[in-house]
Amino acid sequence: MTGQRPDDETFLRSHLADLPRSIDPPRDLWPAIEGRLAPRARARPRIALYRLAAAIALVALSSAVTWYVARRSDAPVAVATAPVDRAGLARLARAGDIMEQGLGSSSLAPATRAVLARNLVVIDSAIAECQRALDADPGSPVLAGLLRAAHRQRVEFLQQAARLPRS
Amino acid sequence: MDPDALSLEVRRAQAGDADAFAALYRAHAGRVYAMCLRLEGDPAAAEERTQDVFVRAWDRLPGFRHESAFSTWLHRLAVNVVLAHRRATWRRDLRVAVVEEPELLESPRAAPDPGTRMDLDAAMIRLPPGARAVFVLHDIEGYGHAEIAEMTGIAEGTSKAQLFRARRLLRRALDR
Amino acid sequence: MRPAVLLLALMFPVPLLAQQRIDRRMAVSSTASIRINDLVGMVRLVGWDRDSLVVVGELPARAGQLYFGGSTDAAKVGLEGTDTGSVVTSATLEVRVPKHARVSVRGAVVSLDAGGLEGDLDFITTAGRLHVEGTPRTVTAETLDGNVEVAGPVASLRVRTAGGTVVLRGVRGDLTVTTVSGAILIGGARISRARLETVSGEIAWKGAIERGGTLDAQTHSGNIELRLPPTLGADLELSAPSGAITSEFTLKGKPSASGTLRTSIGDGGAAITARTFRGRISLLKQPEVDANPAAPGGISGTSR
Repeated sequence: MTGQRPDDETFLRSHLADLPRSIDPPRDLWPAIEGRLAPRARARPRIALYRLAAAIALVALSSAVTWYVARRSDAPVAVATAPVDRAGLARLARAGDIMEQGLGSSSLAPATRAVLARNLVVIDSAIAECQRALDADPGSPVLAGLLRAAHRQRVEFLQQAARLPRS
Repeated sequence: MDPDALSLEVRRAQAGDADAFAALYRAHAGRVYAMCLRLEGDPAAAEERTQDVFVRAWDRLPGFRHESAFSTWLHRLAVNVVLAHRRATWRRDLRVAVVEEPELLESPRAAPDPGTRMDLDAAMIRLPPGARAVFVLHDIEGYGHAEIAEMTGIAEGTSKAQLFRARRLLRRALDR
Repeated sequence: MRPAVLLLALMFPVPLLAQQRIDRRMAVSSTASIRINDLVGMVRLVGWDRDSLVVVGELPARAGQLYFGGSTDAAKVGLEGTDTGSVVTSATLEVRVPKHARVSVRGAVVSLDAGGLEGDLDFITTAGRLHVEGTPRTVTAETLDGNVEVAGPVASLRVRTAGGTVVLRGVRGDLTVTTVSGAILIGGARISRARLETVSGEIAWKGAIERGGTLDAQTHSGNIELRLPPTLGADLELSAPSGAITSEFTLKGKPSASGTLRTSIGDGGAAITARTFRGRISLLKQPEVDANPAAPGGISGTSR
C-alpha cells in the first residue's frame, strides 16, 4: 500500500488470518426480523418523508415569517405615533400561531419544550395584558405599539426555538 | 447448507416464502453480524443493523438476478445498509485530511485488563470510526480503495491514508 | 460464544466509567472557519497567535467520541454518540483557535468561556452559558435558558436568550439584545445603535450614545434605568402608561394622556426611546468620576 511500512501489513496478516469471518449474534434475531418484514419496508420511508416534510415546512415557515416580520416591523422610535393597525396585529398573531403549531410537531427535547412553554406563558401574558389595555383605550398608539412588539417577540422567540438543535 | 440448496432457498424466498428466507438468515447471519459488529463497533448497534440488512434483503430479493452469488449480493447490501445508516457521521470522519497519530487512549473504549493480550477484534473496536471503517472494508472484507471511495464518498487517497493510520494504530495496540 | 465476542462483551460496559484524555492538533489558516458542535460541560475557547487548532482536556466516556478535522480553511470539532439520557457536566475542554478565526459553536448544553478572539463568534445552544472577554469583531449568541456575559469593546453584538440574564461591559458599536424574562444589564457602553428588548425583564443601561446614534429600550413589565453622561445631548421619547417617569436631568414638558413624554436633554443629537407597560423609567446621571465605569447599572445585580 502507498507509504505503508511492510512490517505493519505483514504483522497484521497473521492476526487477520486468525480473525473469525463469522460471529454468531448474541441472540436469535430472526423473530424480530420476521416481525418487521412486510410492514417495515413500506412504513419507514413514509415516516422519514413525513419528518423531512415537517422539517422543510418549518424552515420554510420560519423564512416566510421572517420576511413578514422584517417587512412589517416598526421603526422603534415611531411607535408612539404609529396608527393602530388592527389588521396588521391580527396577521402577526396568526403568524405566531402557525409557528407554534409547526414547532409542536417537531422533535424538540422534552426539557426544551418545557422552557419553551414557560417563556410562551410570559409572552402570552404580556400580549393578553396589552390587548386588554388596548381594548379599554382603543386609540392609543403606545399600547398598539407595545402589543405589536409583544407579538413580534413571540414570533422571534419561536423562530429562535426553530433554530435549536433537535433531539 | 450446500450451494444448490441455498440457491433453491433464494428462489423460494424471492417468491415470498418466509420459511425459505429464515433458512437464508440462518446460513448468513454470522457473517453479516460480524461485519456489522466490526463496522459499528457496538454489539447492540450491530444487532440493529443485522436486522436492517435482512429486512432490506427481503424487500430487494425480487430484484436479485443471480448474476453473482447470493452471499456476495447480501454482503454488498449489508455494507450499504451500515454505511447509509452512518453516512453523515462517517463522511465527516473519513474526510479528515490530517493523517496524524492520535493516541489510542483517546477512544472512549476502556483499555483491556493489562494481563490480557488484546486480539485484533478488540483493538479494532478502539480505532477512530473513519480508520476502522476503511480497515474493515479493505483488509477484512476485501474491497479495493476505489470501491471504498465509491461506497463511503471519500477520496481514494483518504481511504489509503486511513488504512495506513489504522494499521499503524492496530500494530501499536497489539504490540503492547 | 467465541473468545473474541466474549472479550468484546466484557469490554463494553466499562466505557461508562472511563475518562478520555483529549489532545488533538492540526494546522489551520489564520482566518479559518471553525465549527464546534455538540460539546458538553465546560469549554474554554482561546484565540491565540498560532495558525493551529488544538483541543485538549478530559471527557467522560458517556460524553461520546470526539471528532476532529477538516481542511485548513474549514475545520470541525465535536462529539457524537453522547449519552442523551444524562447531562454531562464533568467534561472540561480547551479549544485553541487562531485569534482571527471565525468560530461557530452549536450544541445543547455547553458552558463556554471565550477569550482572546478577534474574529467572529457565533454561539447557539439550548441551555448553554456564554462568557466572552476580549475584542471579537462580532458576537452572535442565542441560548434558550442560559446567561450571556460579554466584556470588551465588541463592535457588533447580537444576543438572544429567553430566561437568561445578559450582562455586557464596555461594548461598542451596534448592539441588539432580546430576552423574554431575563434582565439586560449594561455598563461602560459606547454605541451607535442599541436595541434592548425584553418582555418581563428589567433593563439597566450605563453608557454613552454617539451623536446621531439611537438607543431603544423596551420591556413589558420590567423597570428601565438609564444612566447617561451628564453632558449627553439626546432627543427622548419615554412611555410608561402604568408607571412613573423620574429623572435627574431637567426634562421639559409633561407626559401625554397615553403616558408618553417627548423631550430633549442637552443639545440633542442622539435618539433615546424607552417604553414599559407596567414598569417605571428612571433617567440618572452618571457620576463625573465613576470608579467602575464598566459595571452595569444596578437593578438586578450581576449575572447568575
